[in-house]
Amino acid sequence: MGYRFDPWLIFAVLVILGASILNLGYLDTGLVGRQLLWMALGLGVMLVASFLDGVALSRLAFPAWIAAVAALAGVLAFGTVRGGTRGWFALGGFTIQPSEFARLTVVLALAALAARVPGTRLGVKDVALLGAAAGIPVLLVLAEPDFGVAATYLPILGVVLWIGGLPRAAWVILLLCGLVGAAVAWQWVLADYQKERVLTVLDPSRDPYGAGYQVRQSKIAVGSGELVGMGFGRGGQSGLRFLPARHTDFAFAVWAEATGFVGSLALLGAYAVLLWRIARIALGVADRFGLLLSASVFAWIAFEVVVNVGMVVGWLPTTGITLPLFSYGGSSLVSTLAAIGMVQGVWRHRMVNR
Amino acid sequence: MRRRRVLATAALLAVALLIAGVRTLQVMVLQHPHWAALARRQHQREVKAPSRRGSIRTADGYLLASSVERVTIQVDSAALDYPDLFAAAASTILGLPRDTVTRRLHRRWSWLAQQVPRATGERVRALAPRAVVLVPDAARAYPLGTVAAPLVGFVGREAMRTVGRWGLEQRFDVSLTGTPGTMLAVYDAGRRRLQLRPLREGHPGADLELTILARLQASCEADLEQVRRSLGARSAAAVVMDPYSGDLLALVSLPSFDPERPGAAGPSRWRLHPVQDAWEPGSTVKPFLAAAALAAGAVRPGERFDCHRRGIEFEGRWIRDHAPPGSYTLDEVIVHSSNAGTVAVAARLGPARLHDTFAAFGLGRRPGLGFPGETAGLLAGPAGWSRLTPAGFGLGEELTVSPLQLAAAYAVIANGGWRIRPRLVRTDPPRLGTVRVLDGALARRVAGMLERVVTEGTGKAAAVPGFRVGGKTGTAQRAVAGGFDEVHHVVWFAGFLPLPSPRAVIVVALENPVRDHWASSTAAPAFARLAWNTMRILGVPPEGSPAVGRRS
Repeated sequence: MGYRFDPWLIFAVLVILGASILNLGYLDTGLVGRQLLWMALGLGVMLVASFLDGVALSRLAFPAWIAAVAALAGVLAFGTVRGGTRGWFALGGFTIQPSEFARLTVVLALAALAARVPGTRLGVKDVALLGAAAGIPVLLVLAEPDFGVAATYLPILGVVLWIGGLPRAAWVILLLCGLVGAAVAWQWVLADYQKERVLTVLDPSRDPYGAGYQVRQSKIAVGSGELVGMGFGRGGQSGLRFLPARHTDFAFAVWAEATGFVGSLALLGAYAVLLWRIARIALGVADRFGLLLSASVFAWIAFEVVVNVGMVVGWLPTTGITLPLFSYGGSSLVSTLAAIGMVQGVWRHRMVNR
Repeated sequence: MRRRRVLATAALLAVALLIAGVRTLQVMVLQHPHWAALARRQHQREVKAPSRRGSIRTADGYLLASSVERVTIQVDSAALDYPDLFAAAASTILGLPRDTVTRRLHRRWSWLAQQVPRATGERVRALAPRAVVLVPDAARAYPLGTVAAPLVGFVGREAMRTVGRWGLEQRFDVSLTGTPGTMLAVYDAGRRRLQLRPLREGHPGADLELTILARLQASCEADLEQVRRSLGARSAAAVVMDPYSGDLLALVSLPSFDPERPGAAGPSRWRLHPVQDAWEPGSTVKPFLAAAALAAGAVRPGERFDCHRRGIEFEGRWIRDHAPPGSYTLDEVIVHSSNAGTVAVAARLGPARLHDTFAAFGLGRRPGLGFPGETAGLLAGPAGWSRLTPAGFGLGEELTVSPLQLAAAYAVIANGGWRIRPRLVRTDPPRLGTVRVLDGALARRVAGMLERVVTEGTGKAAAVPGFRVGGKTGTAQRAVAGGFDEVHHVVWFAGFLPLPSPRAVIVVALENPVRDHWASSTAAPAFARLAWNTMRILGVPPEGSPAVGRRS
């Protein structure tokens, strides 16, 4: 059997990557070269990952998870601080964010653990195990502290529990726990600035130059785009540095300002195609591991896209969740491409494993 | 069931993406005007840029005031990579002390230098193109220097804007300024002004063209200044005016000052004496009296006045007379400027007619030039007079007159009896006399008297070879601190030439001459010099000269 891609999947990935380079290139950040390097590395990793079948991936899951937890612990001890978060290893001129790679191992570990459970019902022990596999890295990431990345782990756990087969009663309990947890978090865990961000979503004019500043500037950028945009490098919000985190969290706002509604819809369409193909793969595979893996990756990317776009258009609080494949950042790019590569591998080996 | 749950998840996502799409449409397209307005408001601001200030020109085409293109250098000190190096280099280019440059760079977005030549500004900008912005500006130049400076005035700066502060610069500030243009300043998030580009052109200020002749003005100033210095006079004034049109050909006020550095001279030199100052006119008013006496028939033809006693008693006071003793006709009273004869005529006329005569010649009223601080002089109504006032009026002592008023009054005699409003701005409508003060024959008669003043009386020194000149001296004591003394004088000569149809009325006045205070030996020869200049520059050929180039 020769090598075969899912052409739609690859096409969507390449479109998004191309758009991201175009977007980044017109900002005066000088980071295009780096991002291209990461992109090349990421595409290589994706290719390699697509050769692994379910068995290999399952075998890889546990050691990878151990290594990731070790890296997360290590970064707390030796990492460099950026924006108040101790989350990066400096390696020469590059930095690596272990929490992005750890998410990949959590996907593998959860899929491998849940796949071992026969039938469609998860027992209490299984749930506890899954909770620990996700919870330990999440706690380590929270300790950095990086709430945005920590939050992206949760939909993975959620979808594994959902697909893995949790009874309805358990969902009710989980929902209640979630509500209580949110209340507790609001009261004791969240810092004031984080509460401000949430309140700002409800009332954007609350503090236009404080917590509301980023959202306001982002909406001005998006709103300036109109139908076909102002053109690359012409937008005032991005060019005059009014937009915060132009190349990372708010990269989509830059794109929206430059390309308008048409461009934004095209980019969202590329994500829709990407996610549609992943969903097709999830539906098409027969083995439980492949299903759980692709569903997790689906939840991961979908969650990030929705939360990031929701933040850029001012409907969700600013959380520091980037737009996968599009925002600048090597670790996120490589880990996302690796995940897509694994899904691609699942698709390639779907006949073999039956 | 798994399949259903996967589909449910995908459906959830599809809904989320749909909502994101709709929300994007809402923000980007439907709310676009709102967000775009917010963007404009924080990216750009309109900045007023002054338009070119109009120039002030003389009738013979010389520039008295003009604007030169300059720039103001603004620096965003926060955007300087090497502030110390920049300060060092900029101070060398601008020729400013290091401390000054450093101090000015201390504040963000401060101006480093104003009104710098553009080339210099470009050199400073080359040092730090991202931090330096050149704002268009202009400097005021006065190419003729001190010539006509009190008339032209000067400008000042107000928040990097040029504002007329004195003289014509102040009087015509609005039209000289024009309307400012609009520049669009683009700011980044750090409030750094990144660029400045023209948005709307303003209207440049209108040029002002005067009736003044620069060459005449300059030569009159030079001659009169020489006289002023030799007499040690505090100030000097002269008016040269066309008696028919009222056009002012020269308006001399001395000492003058450098309008580019008005502060160095001080306010007393800024005054435009011929317009803003009024002094006692002395005997120069006697011709008005003679005209009134003739018009009223108060003097019989051939009647003689006894002027033997070197003085006259009036209301119990002895008034001295400096004229040679004799028995004079009315004409001779004027020719020899006899005080005794004049007082006798004044007494016959009576207070009301005396006052009305002077008022008819325009005394006690602003000449209507529209210049700031234009004086009306002092002309008290008969109700406020003392017993001695009729004599004082006749001798030109209890009233004050500005040189411009006197010139306008003498123009009545020169032009055949019409009152004329002086004109300074060429674009003003031409002024024709509409009010007749004297009938033509009487005006010619008085002009004849004044010609005899120059040929045989007190004004001999005012004679100009080759021209028939009419005029009158005036030596006045100035009322200082409630009385007259022997120190404060004004010497006058008012006259016109060439008779019978004068081209120019000329008034010369010198305030507080120290070395000599008789008009016949000070103001009269000064008049002669100015009159000669005027004829030369107006191109009026002297009588008896070959008829070359002369129009028949």
